Amino acid sequence: MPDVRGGTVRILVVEDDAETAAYVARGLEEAGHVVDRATDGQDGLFLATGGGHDVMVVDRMLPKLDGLSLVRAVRAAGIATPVIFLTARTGVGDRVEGLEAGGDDYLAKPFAFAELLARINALARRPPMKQEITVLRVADLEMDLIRRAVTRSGKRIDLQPREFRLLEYLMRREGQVVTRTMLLEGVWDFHFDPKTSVVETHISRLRGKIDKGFARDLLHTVRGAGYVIRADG
Amino acid sequence: MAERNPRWAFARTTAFRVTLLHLVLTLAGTALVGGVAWWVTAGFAMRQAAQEIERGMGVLLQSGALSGARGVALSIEARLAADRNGQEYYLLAAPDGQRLAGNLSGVSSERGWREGAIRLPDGGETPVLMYAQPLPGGGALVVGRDLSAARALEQRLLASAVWVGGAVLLLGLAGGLLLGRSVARRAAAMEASLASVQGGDLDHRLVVGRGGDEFDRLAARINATLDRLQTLMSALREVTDDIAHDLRTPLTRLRQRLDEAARAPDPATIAAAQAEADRLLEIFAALLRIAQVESGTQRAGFAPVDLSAIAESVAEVYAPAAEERGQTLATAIAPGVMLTGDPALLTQMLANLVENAVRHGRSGGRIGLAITSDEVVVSDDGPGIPEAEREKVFRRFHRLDASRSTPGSGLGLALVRAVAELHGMEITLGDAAPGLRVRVALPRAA
Repeated sequence: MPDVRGGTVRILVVEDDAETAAYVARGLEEAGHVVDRATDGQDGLFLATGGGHDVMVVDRMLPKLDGLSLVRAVRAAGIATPVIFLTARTGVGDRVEGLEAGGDDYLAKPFAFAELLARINALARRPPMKQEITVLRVADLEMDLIRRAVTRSGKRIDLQPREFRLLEYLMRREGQVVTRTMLLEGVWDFHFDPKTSVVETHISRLRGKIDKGFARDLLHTVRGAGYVIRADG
Repeated sequence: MAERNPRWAFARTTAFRVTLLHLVLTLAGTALVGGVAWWVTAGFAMRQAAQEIERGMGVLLQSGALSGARGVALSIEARLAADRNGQEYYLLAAPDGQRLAGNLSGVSSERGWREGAIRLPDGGETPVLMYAQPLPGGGALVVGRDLSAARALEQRLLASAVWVGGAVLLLGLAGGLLLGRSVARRAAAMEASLASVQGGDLDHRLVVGRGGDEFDRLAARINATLDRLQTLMSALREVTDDIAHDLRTPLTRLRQRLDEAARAPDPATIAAAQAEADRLLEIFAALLRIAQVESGTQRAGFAPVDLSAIAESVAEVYAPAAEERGQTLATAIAPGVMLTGDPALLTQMLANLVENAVRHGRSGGRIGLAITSDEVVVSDDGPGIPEAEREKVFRRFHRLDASRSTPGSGLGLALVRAVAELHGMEITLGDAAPGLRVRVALPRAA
C-alpha cells in the first residue's frame, strides 16, 4: 500500500453500485481513512450537509438525485469539501461539466484503486492558501517559485520549463503519491493515456538532474501507484 | 377513428384536399362573375323599366297640372295608341275608383312600387312593374311597364349560371380526383419501396422519374439517405466484426491467466491477468472515445485553439521518449496557427501521430513534426506503409502484420481520423522515402 502520512481523513462515498462502493470503502479503510457511505443522491446530500468530511467521492449516475445536482446543491449550501467525481462516462465534455458543477477532480471508471487513493490524498491535503508560498523545500532541494530557480544543497540545477512544472507539481504534494495519470493531466494537460512511456522518461530525466550525484534520493517510484517526492528514504 | 376504406384513399391525399379548396374558391369566383353579370343585364332591364315609368309618370303629372284629368286621359290614350308592342300600362282612376282612362284595372292605387301579373286579352299573363301615385284632387295615376323581357333574360342567366357552375364543379372534381389519384399512386409506390427497405431489403431503391418534379427530387434524396444508411450499416457491421474478433484474443489470454492463477496462485500470474483486464478496458475506452468523436457532439464545445502551442507541448512531451530510442524529433512549428476545435482532442490527435512515428520509426532515425497555416505533417523514416494498406490503417483494430508484435491496440489512427474529420481536416498518408508521411490538411480559416 502506498504510504499515507498524517491524520485520519474522513471520506464520504456516494455510490449506488454496492460492489464498487464496498471495494472503495475497503481500500480506503485499509489506508487508515474513515468512510461514510450513501447509496443514492438524497442520502448523499443529507450526509454531506451534515459536514465533517474531508473529501467526497461522488458517482455521476445516482438514483433520486444525480451526482452533478448533488454537488451543485452541496456547493450552494456553502460547503467547500473537495469532491472527486467517479463516472463510467469518459467523454471530454463530461469532465468539464463535472468541474463546472463544483467538482475538484474527475476519475473515469474503471479505475485503479491506487489512482483514487492518490487523488483523494491530494485533495484532502490541499493547502488552503497557496499564494503565500514562494519557496518549496524538500530536504535540501529548494525551488524558488518567483525566480523560477532550483537548487539542491545550494547547487544550481538547470531545468527545462516543463521539467520545472513537473518538479513543482511533485514538490507541492510532498510525501503524497502522485500517479502517472495525475502527472499527465496536471503537468501536460493530457487527458488520455499515451502508449509510450512518456511520463517514465520525463521522471527519469528529472531524477537525473535532481538526485544524481547526491547521497540521498528524493524522487521515488511507488510500484503500481506512481511517484512521490519526500525527504526520508 | 372512422374505418379507412382504401377506395377512398384518394380523398385523404393532400392533392385532393387542395383541389377541393380550389374548387370552392373557383365556384365562389364564378358566383361573383355571375352576380355582376346579373346586375349589369337583368338588373339593367329592371332599372330601365323603372326609369321609363318615372319619366312617364312625370310627363302625365305635368299634363294633369296643365289641363286636369282630361288632359291626362288624353295623354294616356295617345301613348297607348303609339305603343305597338303592348309594353306600357296605365290607369287613371277617379276618386270613386272608377277607371277614367288606361288599360289597367283592379290594381291598388296606394302610393308606391309594386309588381304584379296582368291578365292579357289573349288569356295569358305577363309580369308588370307599376308605380301608383294618388292625385291631388282625389283619384290616382298608375304607370306600368311589361317585365317579360327582363324576366326572360333572368331565366336565361340563371340557367347558364347553373350550367356553368355544374361544369366547373364537375371539371374541378374530376381534376381533383385524377390529381389525387396520381399523387396517391406515387406516394403509395414510395411508401411500398420504403416499407421493403424497412423490412430488411437495404438494397431496394425508389424509382426516380425523369421529370425532375418534387416527387423525383424527394425520391432522389431518399435514395441518397438510404445509401448513407447502408454505408453506416456496413461500417457498423465491420466494426462489430472487428471488435468481436479483436477482443477475443485478450479475453482468451485473460481467461488463461486466470486458469493458471486458479491452479497456482502466484503474484506474477495475477499481475499478468490484471494487465490483460486493463488492456481490455483500455480498448473499450478507446472505442467509446472514437464513437463519441464520430458522433460529432463535441462540436458544440468548440473554441479557438492555438494548434502551434499544442504541437510544441506534444513535441516537448515526446522528445525524451524519442531520444531514448536514439531518434531526433525535429520540429518546424509556425507560431500562432489558430483553428476552431476541441483542444483535448487535438492534443490527442497530434500525440497519437507523434507516438506512432516514435514507435514505428527507425531507431536512431529522424521524426519530423511540421505545422504551417494549412497543414500538419508528421513523418518518420521507418518502414512506412505500403500504398495498398494506407486506407485500411484508419480502420479500427487494423494493424499491419509487421507491427502485430509491438504493443498497441490498432485504434490510434482510427481516433486520429475521427478527430480530423470532426474538425473538417483531411488526412492523407504518403511516402517519406523512406518512412511514412502523414499530412493533415487544415480547414481554410473562416
